[in-house]
Amino acid sequence: MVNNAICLVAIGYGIGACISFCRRFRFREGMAIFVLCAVVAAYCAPIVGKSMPTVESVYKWIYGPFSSFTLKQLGIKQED
Amino acid sequence: MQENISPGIWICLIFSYISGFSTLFLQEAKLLGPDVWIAYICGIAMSFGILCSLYMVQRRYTGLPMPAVFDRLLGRSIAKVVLCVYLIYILEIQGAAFQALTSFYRTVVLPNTSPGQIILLIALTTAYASSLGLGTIVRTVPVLLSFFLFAILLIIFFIYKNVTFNPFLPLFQHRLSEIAYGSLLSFYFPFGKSIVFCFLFFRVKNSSRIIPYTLIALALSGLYLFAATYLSFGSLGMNLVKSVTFPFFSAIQMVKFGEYLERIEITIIGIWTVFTLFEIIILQYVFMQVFAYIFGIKHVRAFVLPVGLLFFALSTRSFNHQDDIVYYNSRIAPFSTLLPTVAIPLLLLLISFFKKANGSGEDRPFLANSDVSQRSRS
Repeated sequence: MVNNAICLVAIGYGIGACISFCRRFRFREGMAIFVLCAVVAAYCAPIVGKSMPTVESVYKWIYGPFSSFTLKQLGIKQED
Repeated sequence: MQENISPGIWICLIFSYISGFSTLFLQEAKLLGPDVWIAYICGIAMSFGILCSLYMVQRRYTGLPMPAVFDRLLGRSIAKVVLCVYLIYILEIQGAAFQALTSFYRTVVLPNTSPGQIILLIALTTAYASSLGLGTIVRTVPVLLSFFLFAILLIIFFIYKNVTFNPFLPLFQHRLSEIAYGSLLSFYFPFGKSIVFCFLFFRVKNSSRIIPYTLIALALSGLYLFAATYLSFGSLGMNLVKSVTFPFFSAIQMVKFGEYLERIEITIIGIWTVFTLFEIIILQYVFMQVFAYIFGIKHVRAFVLPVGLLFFALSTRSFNHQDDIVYYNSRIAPFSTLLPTVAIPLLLLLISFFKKANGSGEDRPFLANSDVSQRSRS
């Protein structure tokens, strides 16, 4: 519910701010705010949002095997 | 007009930033037990070394913000990529901070509130606070710090009465590899995250005294963390500390001020929560500054809400289970944060020394210089 509301707010704010910037001929800022709001909307979207990569999920994928290998080599057992 | 930070406030700012979350999980304490003090000293030393190296880089370009120093040393395009690494780093630690605070709140105070609502409230609060500017943030820090210190010193005094033995004895019970990993944990969280303060160096008045004041702030944060660990071990015992999620607050819960003042910890938690928000506020402020620099944005205010919502969106989609955050903090983040907290600062220091030794012009970036020299040779 909260996510859906934020998705709508992000789309509305992004379009509004982009038009406002473009009217003042500040196209770079308009594009930056539009892209930022599009990213927020994508993350908060009902179905797509859950499958979007986060820093946590990407880093788990990249560093997970390296971390397991290093901890095994160091002989460290952690209680999760 | 930009307000500068006085050296005394600089200490308060770093202390507030580090100490907000530092006593929450006590992961390195759970790993090392009585030898955790070695990890704290190593963590402080490493963080101080990295901040010193960044200060040495910044010193050559007094008055310039750190992103502009990156530009001078690395060239515009590479600097943008490197700055993006810092943006990702900020998103990484803010996600963990949001989820840690939310999970704490849901466990201790508000079990029936959805995590999304708590995260949204925090995101809106921090977005508003960061929009007020650094001047307002630094003026608020000493006010809240005094409340926090009063409450925490009071509680420390009462917990100390429960401690009947020295929990840090016997010494040196762990292997070197375990102490090394504990130091890495301590460097990632809490001390190493002070790296973002390099983006505020240029705002400090009397910049020649940044280094000693930074050391004082790190040492005070270490002292507070050490006291919290000592009291948690002393009042709960080693085994209980390893099994509970929030050891220091379990120790606080054991304090009773009398028949009618049960749940005194709620007051402490209230003060502590505001204190923890400083970390997210500073992260968001630095994020906006770096983001504005990368995209050449002049009017940052319009970006306050989208950046706050970005923090919200990434936090709600990260760490879906409570165990995820513990796993991430103890296994992944100590390695993943090495790139922005160690590799890039050392690279910058190396390039800075090389430029100095080379006597190359200050206005041109290091990599651009090499391009120019190659062209002139050809």
